[in-house]
Amino acid sequence: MKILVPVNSVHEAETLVNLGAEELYCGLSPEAWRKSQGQEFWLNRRELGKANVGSLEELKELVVVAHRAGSQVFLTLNQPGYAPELYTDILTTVRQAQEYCGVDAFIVADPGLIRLLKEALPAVVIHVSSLAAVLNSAAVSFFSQLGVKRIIFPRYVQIETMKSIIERGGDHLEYEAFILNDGCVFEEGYCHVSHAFGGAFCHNPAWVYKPIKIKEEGNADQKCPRERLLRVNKETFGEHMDEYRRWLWIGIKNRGEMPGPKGYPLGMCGLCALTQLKEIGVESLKIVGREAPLKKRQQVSSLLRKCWILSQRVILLKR
Amino acid sequence: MEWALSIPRGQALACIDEPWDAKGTGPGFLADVREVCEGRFGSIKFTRMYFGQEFCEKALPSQKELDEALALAEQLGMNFTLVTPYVTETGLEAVKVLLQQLMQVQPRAEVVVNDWGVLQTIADDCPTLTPVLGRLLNKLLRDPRIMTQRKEPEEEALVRFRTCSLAGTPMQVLLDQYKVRRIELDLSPQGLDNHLTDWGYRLSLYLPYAVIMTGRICLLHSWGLEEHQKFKPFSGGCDRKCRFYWLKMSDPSHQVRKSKDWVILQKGNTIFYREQKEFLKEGLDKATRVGISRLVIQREPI
Repeated sequence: MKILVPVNSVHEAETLVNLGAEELYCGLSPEAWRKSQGQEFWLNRRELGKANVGSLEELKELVVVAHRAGSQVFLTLNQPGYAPELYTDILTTVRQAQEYCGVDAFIVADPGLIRLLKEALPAVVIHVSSLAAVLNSAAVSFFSQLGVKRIIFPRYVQIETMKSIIERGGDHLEYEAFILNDGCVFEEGYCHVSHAFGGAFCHNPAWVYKPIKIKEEGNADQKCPRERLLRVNKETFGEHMDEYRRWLWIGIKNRGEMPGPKGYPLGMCGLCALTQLKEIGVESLKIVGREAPLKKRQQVSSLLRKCWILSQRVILLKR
Repeated sequence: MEWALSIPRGQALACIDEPWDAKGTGPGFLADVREVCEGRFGSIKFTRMYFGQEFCEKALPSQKELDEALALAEQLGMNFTLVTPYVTETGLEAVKVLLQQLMQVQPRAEVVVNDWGVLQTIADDCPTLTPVLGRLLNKLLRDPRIMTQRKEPEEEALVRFRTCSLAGTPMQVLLDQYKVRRIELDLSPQGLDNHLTDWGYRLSLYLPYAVIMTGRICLLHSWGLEEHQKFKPFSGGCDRKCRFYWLKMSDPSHQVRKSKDWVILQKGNTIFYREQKEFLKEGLDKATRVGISRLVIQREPI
């Protein structure tokens, strides 16, 4: 199993490959793109600036550092879809990233863009982004026919479902799963907003929800709408929403990025499933958080490495 | 203009007698939508039934419900479209059963797909059916903030937000291989592209609910569950609380500002905006100019 970690600079790449990251992923926000496309048209799902490498030169240097350590570098082009007039610029960027910088693979969600890239650059290696929402084996087949190499499972796909998809999808593909850090409230691939317009739309704790009862044919609960409206299994709607906000704080906001007592970050975690993931054929474990501080990514990488070694020892002992 | 009535589930088939819910008072009340539509097009006759929904595999119709819907559509002389959601492996198996059933009764019936896997399944197993690319696979932004982040949204930027990969040759060629001739749209905040017909598809537009986002973690399903069961994608059945409640959303922090053009609502696992009268009116005028050939009216989206 490989550990896949986000990086935003050469220094970060040096640090993280030394901690055992065999795969790195990053975004790119070249100045030419920023000038021509403005602040609202992003090359990937993260904002221009801090969550991206700033130039092709820096990307090239980053790839050299990674390759020297035996690691690979993947570039995100993971918007669910792009306006077609951007395709020419994107194709140019991919060609430069591949030929000049030596990037190993591209993380793409848009089937149109995948088709374009494979036609123009047949040797290009494509990983299907979680934003393509590959939730079933037939979707694997759809993308496999486009010539991709790896499927990245979206968040919250159950192990049994992954197993079934991998069995049916075939071992000619690689499979990658999220393992640590930030959650998403909704399915990323079916989210039709942009963080460019003020950040995440969904997990703003200020949202107020007012329940409205539906009048429906055959609804037997019409006789006691108030009781039905206010409580389900003794839980009031207000109590439920308190729980929801708590979950947002823990699962989505990583407890405000505060570390735990041993310095490890808190938040979404799949470490207990490492052995199972290996057994079903997941080959790469993704650590999320391109915008997170380097320290956090260091600690998480180190934690994942320790847990992976521990899980292998346990397997050996059981034998 | 072709008029389609969306019926998301078997229990709602009775609404065919009163499609506009003229007596209702809840979010399903469509008198304003009817007024705008009839004001623009005159008296409306629904000639197509959209049966099923796009957002939740737990709410897939049963085979019996599909039979009933097909029979009712035939009895009323309506064309039939099966609407399918995005699906996990479990949901895919259920959709396959419905597709086989549909293919036996109406081999050339339309199926709205919102999952690349369902599109692949139709191509592989049910090639006589007619796939329609659903609005979840259309990646046009539907972010209500797009018009309120700046005081004066620049027209040049808005024009670019009105288009997406569906307008590009690579996607057009790909969809042609999968025999997709029709795509579906929402009335997005930034408006419809002036050159929609150049995209090369027949075009459907949903009214009055546009989808903002959807997911497998259902806020309403979690209500009343034990703490460890909440806010997770779940296997097994669902008690469908979404049948009984809408959630009206407001943001006192004004990250998402209040608008006269829409109201933001959550139903089950999905957030929508419900288009308001003037926005609808302007949208319909534009829709007719840019080549929309089918309007899908929803009393409720799930």
